[in-house]
Amino acid sequence: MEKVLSAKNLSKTYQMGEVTVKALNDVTFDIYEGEFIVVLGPSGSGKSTMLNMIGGMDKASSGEIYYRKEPLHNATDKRLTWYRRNAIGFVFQFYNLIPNLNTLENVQLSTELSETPLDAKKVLEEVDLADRADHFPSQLSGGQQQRVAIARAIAKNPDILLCDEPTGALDFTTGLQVLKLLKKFNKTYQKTVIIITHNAGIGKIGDRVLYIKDGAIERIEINEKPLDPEEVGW
Amino acid sequence: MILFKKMIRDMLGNKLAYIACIIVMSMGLMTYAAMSIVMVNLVNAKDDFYDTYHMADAFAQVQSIPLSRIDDIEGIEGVTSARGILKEDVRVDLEDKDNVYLRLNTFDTDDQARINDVYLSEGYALDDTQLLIWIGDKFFDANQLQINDTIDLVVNGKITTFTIAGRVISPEYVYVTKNAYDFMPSPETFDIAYVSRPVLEKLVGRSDANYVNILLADDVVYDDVKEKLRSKLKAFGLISLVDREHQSSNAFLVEELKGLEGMSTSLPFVFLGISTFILYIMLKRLTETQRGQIGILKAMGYNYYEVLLHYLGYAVTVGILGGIVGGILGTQLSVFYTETYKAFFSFPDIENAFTYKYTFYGLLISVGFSVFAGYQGTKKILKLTPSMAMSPIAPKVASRSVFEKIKWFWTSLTMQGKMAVRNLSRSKGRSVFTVLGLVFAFSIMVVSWSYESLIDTMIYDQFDKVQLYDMKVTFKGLIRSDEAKRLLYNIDGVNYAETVVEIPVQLKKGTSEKNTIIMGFGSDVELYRVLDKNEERVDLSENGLYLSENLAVQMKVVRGDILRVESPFVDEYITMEVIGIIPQYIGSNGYANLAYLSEKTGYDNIATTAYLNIDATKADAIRHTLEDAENIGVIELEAQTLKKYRDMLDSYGYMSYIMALISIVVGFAIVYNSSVISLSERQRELASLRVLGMSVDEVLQIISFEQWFLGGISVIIAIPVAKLMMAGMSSAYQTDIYAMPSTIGDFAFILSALGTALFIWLSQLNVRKKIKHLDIVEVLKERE
Repeated sequence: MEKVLSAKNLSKTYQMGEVTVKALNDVTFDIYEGEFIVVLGPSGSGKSTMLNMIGGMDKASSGEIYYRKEPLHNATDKRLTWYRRNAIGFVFQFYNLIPNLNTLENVQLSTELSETPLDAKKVLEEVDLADRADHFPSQLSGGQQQRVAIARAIAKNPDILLCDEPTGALDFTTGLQVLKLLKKFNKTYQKTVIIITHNAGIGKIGDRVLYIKDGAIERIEINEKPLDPEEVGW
Repeated sequence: MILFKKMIRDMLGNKLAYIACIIVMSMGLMTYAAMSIVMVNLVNAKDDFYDTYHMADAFAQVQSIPLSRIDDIEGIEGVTSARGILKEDVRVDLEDKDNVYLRLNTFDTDDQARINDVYLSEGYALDDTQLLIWIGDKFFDANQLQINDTIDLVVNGKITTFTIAGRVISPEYVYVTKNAYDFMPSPETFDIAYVSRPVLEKLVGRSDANYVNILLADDVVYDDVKEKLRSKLKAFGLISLVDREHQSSNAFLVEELKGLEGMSTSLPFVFLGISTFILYIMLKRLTETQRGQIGILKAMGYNYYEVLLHYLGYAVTVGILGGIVGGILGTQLSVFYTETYKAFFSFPDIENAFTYKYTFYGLLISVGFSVFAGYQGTKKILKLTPSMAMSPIAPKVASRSVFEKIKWFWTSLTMQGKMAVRNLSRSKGRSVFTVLGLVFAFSIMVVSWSYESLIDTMIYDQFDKVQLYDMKVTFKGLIRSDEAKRLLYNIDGVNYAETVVEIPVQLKKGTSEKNTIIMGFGSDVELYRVLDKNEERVDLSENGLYLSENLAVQMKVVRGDILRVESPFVDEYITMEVIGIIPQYIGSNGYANLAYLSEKTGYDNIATTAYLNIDATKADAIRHTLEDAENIGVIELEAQTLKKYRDMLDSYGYMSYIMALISIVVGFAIVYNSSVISLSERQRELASLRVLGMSVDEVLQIISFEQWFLGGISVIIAIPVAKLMMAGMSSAYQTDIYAMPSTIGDFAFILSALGTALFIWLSQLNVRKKIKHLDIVEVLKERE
């Protein structure tokens, strides 16, 4: 399998007044095509910073990070935009849908960007929301909104699906549905899925789990037999 | 495309705020388009008319010049041609109207190269033998005359009946006023008329000319020939010599064009400035509240320019709509404006240059302003990286406001009041914006509510406090003062008569010169009071010249300056020292005591004018007696003149209502936007208060307290600003003919404060609706 992401000695520091905060400290990892990765860590462990680095939303203070062979650590804003546009699909904890666009339009917002988009309506069918295509976010439940967010991310046909606490705002049953969808995307399209979460239960469904603590990777665990989402509980 | 939908929905979600902004912007462009088109119309009409009908380059008034001596003028190098004209103001004997005059001009029927030629808009040619007359177009309409109607003119007490052969206009009389004191045309009672030269000569019993129209060669300017003309005309009793620029009708027209130009370049930008400001604040607020969405868009892969373009779209939409609406309305309004101008200015045909060119220009301007506002309002947030944009914004620093130091004030506030005051000091930019907007709206209102007082001061004070006579009689030429008095006292009903001298002069100081009159008052003059700024009577006994303020300002003359004074009353020139400046809103002239004037000119015991106090019931009889007398020129009844002014100025009254309306729209737009922004910024906070159990009105109190508080501060600031604005307008409108007082109406401040309260209240009705519909659960569920 080819590496889609590779990080070497990645660090990120923030200046908070007179205090320097090391949010990410010398992190090294590789992520491969088609993998289902779970980044697990408690609050304040550096998960979000890592997401920002992987997602091309922020630049590292030091170290290197590559998307396939392309360096992201010194990429121009233009190149990072290209990367986010074509390589990454984001799913956020709070869905972050555009409130005054309906379901279909939220998905189309992303297909308009991609060079190789999927059919927005078909993607909505896949997430079982075809009948809610003209509903606005305020007319959808949390689970439905997250499914729209997933559809929006998938519809771009990205290489990597990057999910930030995708079940964080959902109840167990709805969260399960979301995880199943992510797994389905991973299997059907053979795309890399990275879930960033504090929920240890979710770790069991990943091919590999990156445990992160105090801004560093504590350990990497390989699940020889990743569980199906339905088999896990939290 | 999807982002376009988002934009449309966002705008519709806050439509009232955008509409208010579009209205303000369109007002700016409406005035721009309308005034620009009208200006083009007037300039084109003027240029065409002057050119085709050979408007003179110089105009001289003399006592008398034989026609045979006109060649002398033509002989001056630089003069292409000159024509002698005989003019005489004659009374028209109309059945139902008194005090109606026509200024008769001779018309040389066989002259092929007339200067100030006449445009015959209807009718047929004049005849050297028949009593035919061409009447000024406006008089013709105002008195509902028809071609071939007859009209009776009273000359030297004798009635002569003329047949109306045509209706005419001339480039010399595009704007017709009787004299320097009249600054509005009065087509019902005064206009021009033309009769053939032999007819007029016979009628008035003279065959000379008292006016000379002069055309100069293309490469010659008036200043080059002025002195030669003056010295040549001196021998004929030169009364005044002016170039085209200073010729009365042209000066009015040019003054109006200047005013239009000034208005078309300044007023629209005031509105555009306000709307740009509103738009800036709105987009700043929009991007701040959509900070998370901006982060998402960027995270999804939208680049900086795509997101920028999206938000500029809001501004451009406002600009385009404002531009189109304003441009179209302005173009339509120009038709109305042009028609209004036709009532004052006479041109053969004012073509309304019905063009959407200015709509297009206006569109470019409005889009330019909007893009500027949009870019300024959004650039800061759009520069954030996606991760920063998506992370929650740090709460604003809450600190004690300066108002908290005022203990009694602070302790008297309710909790809502305290929250409001703290919020105001936390959002300084928006508070300043609101105050500026309210100050502007308030000041415009003060100006509009002051209109009546301004007119009162300008016109009625002149009649109530200065001109105390009932009737003014102007003699033909000079008359002995005692003889004049004897004549007047012999008329039954004349209670009191006094005579004064009005001397036509040209005042000079350095390069500045003005044609005006000096009024010479004896110590016994009671019916005309020269007042100082405290409305105290000025003692004219000191020897020297008093100048009306507008004249002094225009000539840049101050007390102590020595002026060179030329007049047909003196051989060469005399000098006079300026010893006082008289505040005066109507007319511009000089004053001096009669003894001093006699000493300077050598003329003694003479009169040109008389002021009468009469028995009102015998006014008609007195006028008829005077009209039949030989030496009487013009008779003016004070009450009639006052009525004329009142009628004319009342017709302008609608302007003040338009201004008041504009100020309310501007004020509403600003207050409404400001409160909506405040509301949306603090939705969460206010929703929390609702959850705590506060009613809609209790929550509204916070927002409304802010607005009332800012309203109060604005009114305090706006009072001196309004005074400054009035003073500024007053100094900007100083012309030869009138000066605008800076009087503020008695109730202007109170009415303006009420107006301010009105739009604060109106905007709060809408804010209340928004608070009522605040979805508490949803708002609180939203992540900060």
